Amino acid sequence: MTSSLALSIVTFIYLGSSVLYLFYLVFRTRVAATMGTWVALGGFLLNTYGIIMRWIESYDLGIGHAPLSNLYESLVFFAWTIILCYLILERKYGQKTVGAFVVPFAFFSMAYASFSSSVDSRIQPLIPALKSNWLIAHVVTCFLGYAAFAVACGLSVMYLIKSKKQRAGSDGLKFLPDPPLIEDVSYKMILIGFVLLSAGIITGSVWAHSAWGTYWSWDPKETWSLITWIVYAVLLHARYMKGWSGNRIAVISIVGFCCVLFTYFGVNFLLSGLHSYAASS
Amino acid sequence: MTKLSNFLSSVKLTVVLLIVLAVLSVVGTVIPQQEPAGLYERMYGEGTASLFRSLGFTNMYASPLFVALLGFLGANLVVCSLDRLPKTWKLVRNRPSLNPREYKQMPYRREQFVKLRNPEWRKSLSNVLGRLGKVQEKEFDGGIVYFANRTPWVRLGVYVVHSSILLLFVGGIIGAVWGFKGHINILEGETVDHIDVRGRHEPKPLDFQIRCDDFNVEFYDTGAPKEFRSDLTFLEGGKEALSSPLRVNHPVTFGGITFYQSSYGSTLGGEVVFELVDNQTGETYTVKGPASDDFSLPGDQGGFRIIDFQNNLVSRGMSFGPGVFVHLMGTGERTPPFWVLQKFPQLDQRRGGKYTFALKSFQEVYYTGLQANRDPGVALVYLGFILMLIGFPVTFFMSHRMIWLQVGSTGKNLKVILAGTAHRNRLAFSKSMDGLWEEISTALNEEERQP
Repeated sequence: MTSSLALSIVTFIYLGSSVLYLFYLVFRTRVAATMGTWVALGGFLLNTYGIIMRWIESYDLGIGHAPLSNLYESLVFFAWTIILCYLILERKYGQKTVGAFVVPFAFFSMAYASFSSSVDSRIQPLIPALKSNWLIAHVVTCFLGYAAFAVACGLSVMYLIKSKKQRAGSDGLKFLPDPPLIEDVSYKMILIGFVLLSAGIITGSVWAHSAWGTYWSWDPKETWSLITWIVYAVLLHARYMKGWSGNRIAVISIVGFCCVLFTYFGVNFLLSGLHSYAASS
Repeated sequence: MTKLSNFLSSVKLTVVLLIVLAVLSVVGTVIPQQEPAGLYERMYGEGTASLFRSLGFTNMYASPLFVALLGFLGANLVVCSLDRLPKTWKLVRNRPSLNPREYKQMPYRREQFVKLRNPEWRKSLSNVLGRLGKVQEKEFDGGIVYFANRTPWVRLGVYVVHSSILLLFVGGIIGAVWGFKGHINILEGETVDHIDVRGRHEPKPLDFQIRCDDFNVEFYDTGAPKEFRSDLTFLEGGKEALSSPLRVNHPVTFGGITFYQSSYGSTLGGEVVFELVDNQTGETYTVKGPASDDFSLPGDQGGFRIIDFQNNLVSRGMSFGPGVFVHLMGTGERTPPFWVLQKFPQLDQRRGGKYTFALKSFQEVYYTGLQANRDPGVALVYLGFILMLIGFPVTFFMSHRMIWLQVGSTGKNLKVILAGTAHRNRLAFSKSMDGLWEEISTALNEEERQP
């Protein structure tokens, strides 16, 4: 099976998994959640296969490089990291309701990669600036961080819904995990995301220094990654030093993930800069 | 004074500064930066443009406002850290006693009577507690207290992170004040002794020379560059001091300046040959000459000059191959400069001038574009990066934990008290303490092993 076929199928598998988790959320059919997990795991394995195949195919084309070099490949990898993050979390905490808030992110990423006409899915050769060992370190740390933030965002949405219901005195949504647990896990994901984002900015910076001689040039993507970093830094200080918690932290976490999305997509399409090769055209 | 230091040390200030910096950064990505003056007037109108300029929004990240806020943030960081450090240091150096009063009111506390089956319980216990690292012991009447003070130094992690950020600031300032960013294009075979430095009008002389012996660029089938490299020789006092290839991502340092392969291009060199057709008579003329000189039109009716050259002119996503941009002079015709393309000799007919220009032949010389920088602040910045990457896991994922275990004999039973605290992540701590409790009760219950 070619990588592009495998990855197209993965899109539908993640859709299936999202639907199953949502079904569980709405109708609380236990078996739907169990199936959701297995389907997500199957999708993850095929996703992994697709990435490896694409790597091999690039070597067959004589332009071998890790499949992390353009928008299509990064979207595929983003979906992979989200599911990885989620499956580890589910295994650790056994909270299957979270799936409905997180797995759709992976589906959207894959769907965007597969169906958007502005995303070129061809394997392209690397331009000289991208030929660096820092490429892998930079992309892997950034996207693992983004995935952790995506999961934290899903959990924060869940938190807001649950706490709103609780305040309204409704005992519906009882099957959702307790707010303190959601908050705790979400906070952990934010910490992991923050460390990885920092590592991603640092590796990118070291790379830029070896390619262009400047570790920081205020290019829009760099600037937006810093803005994202600042939003999460504010969250950490508000929580540690000012004792903020609950809804306020959840809202900052969602704002932070919006910044992640803008750093990732918005900058490519609305602003221009060094990372233009990561855009589609 | 205290008021000022109170203000400077507040976390509220940190948060406000961070938010303002983030907002200004957003503005800086939305308004184009460091563009020529006219652009802003066209985009925003006179009034708004001059407002932006006076606020420094057209060069945001070097604007007095932005730099001042960064300075403020740095001061806030320093004052904040100095303010809190003595207290933290005390907590790190503090040696809690093994007195029961010390652990009477710990967040985690569990107390239970356990039946004693294992006469060797002290040995079993020290096996279990051995995992906690260094454990202090104190005997008291009919019992013993163990105390483990785990990783108190992690409380300093946050200071490591904050100093790493200060190092980035200091490194950045040093680079901005004592460093420079330069650029130089060198033709193949050419030797240069200067670079153009950003923000300086005259070129900066070097105390050595750089010769480009060779330049090579390889392309993929798609036309995208695959690799480009220059073979450079650095000369000092006319003598070759260093010969080295320079590739993208592989900089070379000489004489305190680091050179980066950043771009390349080609320019016209040698003779250029045009064929001109008189549109009225149909007569054909050949006009040739060195690329940088002025050309004369037939019959001395004015001349023209080449003001630009592209080896592959791209317009609206289509590539048109090599072309020269020609400017007519002294012909009486008021024609704006126009492109003459080698691959499309008929194209110029449409211009409707006196002559139709065609480009017959030219010679192309490659030049290599080098970035030439000196940044004495980089070492500090990298040190900051390393400290940050060490400081984060320590700050976020480790905690200072104190654990007391008191075991007292009351005849047949043992009274066991397990107490402790963690300065962070109490949920995980209490889980791990529950685990420890299980191990302890197993150790106390262990039957003596039969030989």
